[in-house]
Amino acid sequence: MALANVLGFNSNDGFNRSLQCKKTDANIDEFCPKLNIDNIANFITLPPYADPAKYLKMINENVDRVKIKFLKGTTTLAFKFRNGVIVAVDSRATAGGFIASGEVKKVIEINPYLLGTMAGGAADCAFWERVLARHCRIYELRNKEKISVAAASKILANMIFEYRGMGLSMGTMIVGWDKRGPGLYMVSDDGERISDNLFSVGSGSIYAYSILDAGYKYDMSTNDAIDLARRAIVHAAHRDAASGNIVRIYHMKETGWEKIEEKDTNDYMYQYLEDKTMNF
Amino acid sequence: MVKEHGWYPYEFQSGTTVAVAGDDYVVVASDTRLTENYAIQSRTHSNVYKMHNNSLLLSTGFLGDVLTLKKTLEGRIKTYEYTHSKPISTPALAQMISIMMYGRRFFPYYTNTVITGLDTDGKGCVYAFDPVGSMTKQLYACEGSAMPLILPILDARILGKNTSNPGHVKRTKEETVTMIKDIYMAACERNVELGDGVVIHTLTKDKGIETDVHPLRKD
Amino acid sequence: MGDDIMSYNGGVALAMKGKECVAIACDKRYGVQNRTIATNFTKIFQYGDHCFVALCGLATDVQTVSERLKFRTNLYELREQRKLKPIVLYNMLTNLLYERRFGPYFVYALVAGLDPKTGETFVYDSDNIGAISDNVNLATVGTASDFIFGLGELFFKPNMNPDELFEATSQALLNGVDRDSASGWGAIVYVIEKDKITLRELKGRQD
Repeated sequence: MALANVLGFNSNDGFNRSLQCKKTDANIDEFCPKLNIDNIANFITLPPYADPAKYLKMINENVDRVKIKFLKGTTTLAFKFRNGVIVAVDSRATAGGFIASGEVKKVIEINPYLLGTMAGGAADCAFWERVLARHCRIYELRNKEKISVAAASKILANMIFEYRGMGLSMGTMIVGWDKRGPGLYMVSDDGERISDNLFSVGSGSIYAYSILDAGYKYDMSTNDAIDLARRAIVHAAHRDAASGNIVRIYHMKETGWEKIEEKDTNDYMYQYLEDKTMNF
Repeated sequence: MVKEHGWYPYEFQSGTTVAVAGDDYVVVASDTRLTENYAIQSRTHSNVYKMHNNSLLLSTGFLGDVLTLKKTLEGRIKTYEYTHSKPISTPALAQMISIMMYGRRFFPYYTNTVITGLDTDGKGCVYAFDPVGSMTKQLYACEGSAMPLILPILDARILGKNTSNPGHVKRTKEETVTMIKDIYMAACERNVELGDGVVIHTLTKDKGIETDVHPLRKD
Repeated sequence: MGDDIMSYNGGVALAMKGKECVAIACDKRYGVQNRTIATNFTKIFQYGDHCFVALCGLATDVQTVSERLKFRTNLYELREQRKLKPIVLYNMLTNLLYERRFGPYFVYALVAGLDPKTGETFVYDSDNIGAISDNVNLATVGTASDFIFGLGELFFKPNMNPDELFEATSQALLNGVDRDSASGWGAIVYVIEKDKITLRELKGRQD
């Protein structure tokens, strides 16, 4: 109920009543709300302007007066391979040229078999993936089975689509394992949702792609896949000023995700330099 | 400062806050000068707000938004307590702030906010936010006008960065207070918006909030 | 980052005084906005035996100003038949910058030097149109200068010996650039003493 409240549910709505009632198979549909997004929409205040995107641009890019800087900048990547999906991210958040944090968690653990990544506005990704986590849980309770990656990513895309053109900034990948096997979708702030074997998102993605494209093979071993993901992030951390600090790697398997490592990219750079496997 | 025509909803007002979490304490500090466009509006304004569940809210930026955020938050804390019949924990409060701030995604509160307190084990915790509610749990935080001067000092002192032996340097409550006092004295030499005084609050499980005020240069 | 011409290429420099010694340090990044192109771009130039200049800002102007200053200092030494002094160098530099008062070079400058006879130390800074500063204890210019100022103020102590000075300068520079995305990727530090000049390379973070 706490979650329902903080997320802006009206305390008289069906969701709360459903928690107070004994659930049976017969009444579960009656008491559980549909996966609607109206309650979230009501809770977000709109500015006193007709065009929110224009307003946000004004306060984000103003030169003469107060400029509000949101946290940004990223390299994230994910790819499918023989043994599942590898997800790797950096950990830097910048506001202008300033490194606001070097310890951001850009992999959002939605539940034990779903991961989301964070690129673009940190708040946008964290908030909407939290809402997504709630939707996934409700789906699970109602349908007594795990939500598919396709469905989860579509819920997110639909929510984002409602805010299209209003200045949200997010490029996120939804990674999971369901009855169809490994799943990987990219959902972006204009409501786009696509599936492929390999994605990289963020300001450092062009550098990550260069390493991934050179070394990616679907049939590679888990260790090779982890090493490739790590090198891609480390390379992007080196070349892209807005990426860096820690590399975090996750492996999505049939049993759910496993956290592989969280290490400083700088240590890897000097290591690669020493064993001459990368030139910086 | 160049003025634009038309209404602009924000103004920058100064204030510098520091928060450091320890194993069994939290030390927070704020200077007491409030300025807007080089005019000193107050010499006794602290940016630390005590929430009644013993969390400390540090918020700088546009004072109108800071006060609105604080007021709304106080209401939400009470509602939480009536609904749940227990005080809200600091981690839960942090999540609440994050969501509240995101509610203003398209009309943000112009605040640099940090919430600190003790978690259920009595361990110090510090959560920092961007203006639209991106939340990170940190060992320490510094926000406000003198942040560029102070934050790298905290990196060096608390995390021992760029030393032969990097890692978290543990300090006692008293050492932390002394460190913060020194840092404010150094920073007020180089930042015109920082001065007059620094208020240092120490929060521990046994003693609650202890407050200490030190004068800084007033020019 | 990069919306301002002064932070288009990134880079930072710092100078600090000790007892009969002075240190000047800079990072090694050359970038275009967020893209790091090279990590061997040093911004410190030596003119004469004990005189150094650091230039931060737009890379093309860093090169132009350093070359034009080289031309003028060489000509000075030939014409006047005497060695360049830090204060002379500083005046030449601020003059050079002020000549472009209404179409300025996009560089901020530092001058660090030492009088080899008396051991007197000099640290000056200037904005992009040649504003004249006092002989200060600590000066820093560039994208991370705000971060370094706080650290410099903390690490600076009067009358440091060359080793202490090197340590203070390096610490201030390295910790400062770690909070700035536009500078870093290694650093160099010159420590200028009466009888020797030491150049050390620092292994900084490569991200």
